[in-house]
Amino acid sequence: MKYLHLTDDQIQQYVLEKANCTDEIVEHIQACIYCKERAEEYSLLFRGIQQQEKPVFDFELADLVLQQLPKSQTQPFSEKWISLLIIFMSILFCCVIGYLFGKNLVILFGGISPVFMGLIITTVISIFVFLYIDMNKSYHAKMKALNF
Amino acid sequence: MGNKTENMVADQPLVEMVLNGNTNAFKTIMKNTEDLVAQIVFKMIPIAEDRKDIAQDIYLKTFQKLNTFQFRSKLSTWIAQIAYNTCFSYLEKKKLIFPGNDIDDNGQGEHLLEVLHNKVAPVKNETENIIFRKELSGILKSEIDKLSPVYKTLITLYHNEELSYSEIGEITSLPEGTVKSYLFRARKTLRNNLLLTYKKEAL
Repeated sequence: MKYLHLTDDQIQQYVLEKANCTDEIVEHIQACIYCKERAEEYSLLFRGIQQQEKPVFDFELADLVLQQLPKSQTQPFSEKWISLLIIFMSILFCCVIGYLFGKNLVILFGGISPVFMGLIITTVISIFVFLYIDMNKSYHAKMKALNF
Repeated sequence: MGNKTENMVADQPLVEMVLNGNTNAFKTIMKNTEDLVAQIVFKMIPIAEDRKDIAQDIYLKTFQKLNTFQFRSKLSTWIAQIAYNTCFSYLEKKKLIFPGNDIDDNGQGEHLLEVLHNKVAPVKNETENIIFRKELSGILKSEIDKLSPVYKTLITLYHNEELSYSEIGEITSLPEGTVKSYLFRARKTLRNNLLLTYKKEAL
């Protein structure tokens, strides 16, 4: 009969999770001096690892981090009102333009062919999309540079 | 499992307080998780001067991303994941990622106990015994330090922080089977390297 010793993995498993080991492994270790010694070595090693001192930061981490946190996550009251005012003014401006020059605009754009009109609208939308993407990118880059 | 759910329930009010602008609650979170983060940072970052910046970076990222935390794991596991990823990015940036080839199979057939017994044999009294144990602890520490950052971290998370394979898998984004296999290899490497060191010292 060929007599094989247990593998390293089996010995480690025996030391760490004896309950999950097969009877074969448990019986082998009890009978084999070589594998028993290796199991004891691993127990010794694991005890040594557990007894290692825990590392500790030599500075007050919480204080350092708290100093860098933004004061408040919520938008200030005045900023909210300014945003609303800008939106309101923009809508008002569009309405006034429409009321004063509405007829002229209809005459101005009424004479243009639908294909040309489509081209103008597509161009304007494309420019706005590009501008928005560019602004958004630079905003995020600036915020990142400011925060971290 | 029950413990995990309990922790997750305890995490929720703290997270909500932070999201409502209570920075003291964030300080509590930091105090609760600092030991775990320190373990990861110390094991993964070899340059001591860089640890301060990285530790701060980890918690600033945590604060910034806290609104995306979905309570699928313990908060400490989530923060440990941020810590691990931050350290890993640092290692990649500094090109300090070592391949997993630090497995040293030398001394496979040797017995560590035999070598240790030879060393212990001359130890006669309790004082000498204490000195020997301190020496053993020091050698073990230096052998752990020689392992690759990932192996060191896995060993620490399993043996010192007593995390489960699945929790370690969540932190490191490695499958559970890979975590187990890496841990087996890391311990084997550690044992063999320790044996080699003792043999060299004995000469």
